[in-house]
Amino acid sequence: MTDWKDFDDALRDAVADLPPPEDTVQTVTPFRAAIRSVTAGLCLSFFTLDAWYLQYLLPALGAVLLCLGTRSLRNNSRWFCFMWIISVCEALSLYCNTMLRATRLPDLTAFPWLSLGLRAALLVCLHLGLRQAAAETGHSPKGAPVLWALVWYGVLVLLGIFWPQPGWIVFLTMAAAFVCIVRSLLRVSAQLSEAGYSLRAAPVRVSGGKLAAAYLLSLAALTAGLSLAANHLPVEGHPVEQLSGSSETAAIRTDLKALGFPEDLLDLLPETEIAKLSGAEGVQVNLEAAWADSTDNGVRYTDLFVLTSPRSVRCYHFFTVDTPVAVLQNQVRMEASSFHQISNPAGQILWNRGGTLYAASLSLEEETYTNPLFSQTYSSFTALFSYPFAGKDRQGWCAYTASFAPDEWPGSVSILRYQTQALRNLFPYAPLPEQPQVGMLNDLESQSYSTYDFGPTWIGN
Amino acid sequence: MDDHALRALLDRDPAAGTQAVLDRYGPLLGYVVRGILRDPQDAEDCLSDISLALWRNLARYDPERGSMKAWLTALARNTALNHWTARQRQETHRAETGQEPAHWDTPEREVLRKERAEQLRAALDRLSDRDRQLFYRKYYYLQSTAQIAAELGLSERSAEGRLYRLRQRLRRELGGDGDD
Repeated sequence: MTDWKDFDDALRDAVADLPPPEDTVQTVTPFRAAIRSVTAGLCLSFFTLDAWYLQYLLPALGAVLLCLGTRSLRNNSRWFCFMWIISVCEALSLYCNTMLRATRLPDLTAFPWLSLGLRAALLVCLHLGLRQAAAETGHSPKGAPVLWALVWYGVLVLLGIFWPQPGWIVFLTMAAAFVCIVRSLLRVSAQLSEAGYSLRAAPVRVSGGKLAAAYLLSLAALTAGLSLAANHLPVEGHPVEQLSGSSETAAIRTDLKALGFPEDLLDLLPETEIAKLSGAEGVQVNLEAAWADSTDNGVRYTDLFVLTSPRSVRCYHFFTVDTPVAVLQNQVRMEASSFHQISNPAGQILWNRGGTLYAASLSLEEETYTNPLFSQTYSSFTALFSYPFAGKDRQGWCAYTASFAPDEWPGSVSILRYQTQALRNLFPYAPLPEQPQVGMLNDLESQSYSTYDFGPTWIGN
Repeated sequence: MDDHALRALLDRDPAAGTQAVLDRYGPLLGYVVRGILRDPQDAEDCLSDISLALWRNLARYDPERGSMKAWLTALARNTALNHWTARQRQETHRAETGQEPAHWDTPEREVLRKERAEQLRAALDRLSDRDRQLFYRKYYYLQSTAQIAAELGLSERSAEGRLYRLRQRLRRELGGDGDD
């Protein structure tokens, strides 16, 4: 112990001949780290860039810096203490809101004025705190940079409310406003250059770096976990019983195979679906059904059409899926031409786990829309789902029945659109149809497009 | 009023200039002194001495050798350290009544001190900015660990850890083993 004390004394004596360099003299202050943290925090909170998640990352970092900066200043005056409380509230609110955005629950954006009010109160407290700190040392602060920042922020908010889609002139005005805010905030630090020596930094129990790391890492981890949970749309899977069924469906299977229905695809259909094909008169198969201009999103198609009666066709779209596991939300959408009625939709997804084939039914919802030009009504069937994480050999099928009028022969177009989720759309949570489109032509949607024609030679007319 | 204006005022009217320096840099002087002298009365006495020293010596300030802030920091630090040393000697003298105080400044010690200063300068040049600031806070400004921790936003334990590692490194580089 004495040894260390001697060493300390020797260093203290030796350093008398080595006065600190100029930058160290400027750096050793009670407020510099704190006020820089506050300034950086305010800048990051004001700054919004809607790209690469920066609209979430920068405010989170800004909230932490504001908390750390005001934490050091909080014991100097009630204004700094209020500022600290407000910044903690803001950080907690941002934390909760970010997590809520990862879930299907509503977030706190319903209370924008609360956030704006807190931000304004924060700036006012900073302004009053700085004035008080300067006054205590007999200094009179020049100007009011923080109030100018408040005014500029108000202008930005008003522009955002009343002119959400501004042109270039307004955009440049907003950019100039931001530069003014940053300059104003940097003047805060300069204003404290001498008066700030009267401030006393408050002791802390947890180091700023640890606190920031805990806040940001826990927020990132929780948000990632909640995003995965929210975007995974569970399905009720059950093992597929192979080669079972009644003698009646066995006879139908035999007939369908004889008509050209591929056996491996037939094995994917449940008994109830095979029963719908009783009395089939013809089968048409399109093995490479992907539309030539379609994006390759890892989905392969085989389309198949079964003439079940002279005016009725059961249309099947089989698909295999080879997408990254991170693709959680999937959407299938079956569409048909408007010249016939479509009904009786059905579909399943299938996957292999531990050598066992599992299947889950799709919940296909009908959507109708009318073409105002021709007063025709179109129908489509849509389902949203996720494959289980551990599932391999992911595949599926969906089908509907097209019914034709007596004066038409069965022939038409059938389309299946398969959309996968972009990794970057995992957060914030939104149902797949409401997520931002990737690319000009929706790069993550592919489609199969097949025509079938059971003309007079098939139906005996 | 910036340093340039202060110097102009000092040239024109030394009394008004000195008072202006005290007004502008008073908080800085108080900050440096109170980091070294924890007793408020000692600090006030020291600040009075610094004011007197300023009245006498401010004309000698040479802007070519550094900023006024650096010059005043050195003045405040050295004056406060003299106060602190005097107080320590008084207390030691009281505790060991009858013993003669040691003679501190011999020619040999002076040569040794300069050698150590050169070694230390080289070691400081190798430190990161963060560690260099930590070093100066501890050994030049003589701030307590609690003050250093608060001003750097660290817990006391974390500041102690950093100081411990810094001392070990310096001891290694200055010729000790540094493993104690």
